[in-house]
This record gives sequence, C-alpha cells and structure tokens, in this order.
Amino acid sequence: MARFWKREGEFSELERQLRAERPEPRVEIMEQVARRLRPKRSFLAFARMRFAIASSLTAVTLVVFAALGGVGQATTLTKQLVGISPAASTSAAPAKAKGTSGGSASQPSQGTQSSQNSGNTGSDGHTSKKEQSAQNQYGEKVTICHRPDGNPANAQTLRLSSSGAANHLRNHPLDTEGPCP
Amino acid sequence: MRDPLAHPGPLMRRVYGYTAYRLGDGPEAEDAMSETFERAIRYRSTYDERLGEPAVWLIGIARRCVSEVLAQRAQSAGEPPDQAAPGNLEADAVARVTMQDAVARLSTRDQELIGLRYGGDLSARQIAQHLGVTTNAVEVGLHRALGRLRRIVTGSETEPAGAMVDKAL
Repeated sequence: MARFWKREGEFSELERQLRAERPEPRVEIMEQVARRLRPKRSFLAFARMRFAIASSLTAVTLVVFAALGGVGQATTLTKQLVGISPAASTSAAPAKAKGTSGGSASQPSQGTQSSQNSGNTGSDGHTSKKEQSAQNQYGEKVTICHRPDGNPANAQTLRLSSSGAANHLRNHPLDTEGPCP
Repeated sequence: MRDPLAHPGPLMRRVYGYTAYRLGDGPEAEDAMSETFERAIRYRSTYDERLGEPAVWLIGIARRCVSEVLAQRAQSAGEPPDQAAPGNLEADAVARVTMQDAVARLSTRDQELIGLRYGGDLSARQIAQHLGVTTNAVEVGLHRALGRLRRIVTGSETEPAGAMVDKAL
C-alpha cells in the first residue's frame, strides 16, 4: 500500500496547493475565540493565587497560635473568662498560686507565711475548694499552733507544709501540732 | 496536566482549515470553529494527552460540530446555504475559491479525508484513529480522493457535484 505514497510527484503539486490554499480564519474570529480562552486561564491563575494566600494565612495563624500556648491555653483562658467550673478551677490552680491573682484564696507555696485569713479554714475544719486545689497541687498541709517565743500568749493557728511544720516544731519549743485551743 | 488550549493560534488555523474544507470558507465554518472551542473550553479538564495531541482532540470535536451543521443543512435543504463573500479579486483568493469549489464537488467521504489531511493537518495514522479504519485504508482513500480532485481541477471530471460515489473505503 505504501507504493501509493512512494510515487514521487504524482500529487505533490496538488497537495502543496491544498496546504498553501488552506482557508484561514479571519483575525476577528481568532481574537474572539482567544478572548473566550483568556478568562479561564486568568481564573486558574487567580485560583492558584487565592490558594497560596489561604495557605500562607493558615500557616501564620498556626504559628501564632502555637506560640501563644495552643489549644490548651486557649481553653483554659476561655473557661476562666466565661466561668470557672470545678474542673477548670482545679486545672487553673497552679497559675493562680503563682500569680496570686486569687488574693486571699492563695496559699504560700513554701509554707513560710501564715494564712492570715483563717476564714479559709472553717471553724469546723472544712477547707474551701481553693485550699483543696492547693493541697492537691502541693501536698498535704499540717496544722500547728504557733506560739512566738517572746509572746506565747499570742498563739496563732497555722497550716503549713509538712517541712514547714517540722521546722516550726524544731525551732519553737512552744509550738504544738493541731489548732490552737 | 497540560492545558490543551495553551497555544490556541495554530490550533484555530487547523480546526478552521478542516471546517472550511468541509463546510466552505465562511460563516458556517467560523461558527463550527467557535463551537468547537466552546466545547473544548467546557471539557478541557477531560483532555487526556495520552490519547493524542490537542489538535487531534480538537479535530474530533470539530467533526461532531461539522456533522451537526450538515444535519441542519439537510433539514433546511430548501434554503440556500450561506456562502462566503468572494472578497477582493486577488489572485490568491481566486485560486482558493477555485480549490475549495473543487473540494466541494467531491463526495462527503473524500471531503472528510481532504479536510482532515490538508485542513486539520493530521497524519494518516491520526485520521485512521478518528475514522476507525486502518492507516492503509486512509492512504488509499486519500490517494483516490486526490485523483478525483485533480480531475475536477483540470476539468476532466464531468460528474456533477456530490454525484461521485466514494469507492475508496
């Protein structure tokens, strides 16, 4: 079959003429079609740019969020702002103990100061929720009756850590365990 | 994925070459080309470069557009078809009209082969893929179509337009 095309020159002039005289579209028609093609390409470029911007913003947001403490910190702050639930107060205790934002509710971490506010310890021995939180965080407190050496009549009930209580009992012979009578 | 319409200029010329050889140089061919690109824009995401180059894909769309135009022509056979304005009388344009007139006198099958080969600038193998025949059958059909075209051009062909029976395929 290839012999049909091997006959050199048989239709070469006709083929050349067919190619040379191939109808050409008008310039206006080509521009019209090209215009319809253009918006699609610009839309694709716009979509790519939009995707890049969205990705960048997401990355920046994640970095900032992570730098500020992430989800846990945000949750804690939100709960503190909205209202403190029992679970939230437990988890928020360390921050309050350090920041003393709780005022009278805070207990000294080293146990060297007395709790001037004996209201935290009820007369019936019940402790508030904040004290429970502090106990959970820093261990069991020990109640002693501190009697200053120069003024034994001015006895004060103190709730101290076990090491603080041991120091008191060692250094102040008049101090006794348990609340003052 | 490669955009099949990234370089539309040469594609438009090839598609128009095919539609003009099939429908005649003029508004119908322009409409068919525009419709071809409209559909190509709509379905550009479905283009699979493994199945052929963009021109082959577009010519496939153009063939369907041309078939629709021809079907409309058949429906409105009473109305005279739109013809291209002769334009200026320069020698090239005259020769072009003459060649197109000669192609228009060929059978539908011969017009299809000539349009695909010299209008769409497809290879015999690509034409064979479109028509679902062997490459050899395309080559033989083209050879015979060219023979008939030459007879028309040289004036030795006496059969009226569209009366020739395609015996090539």
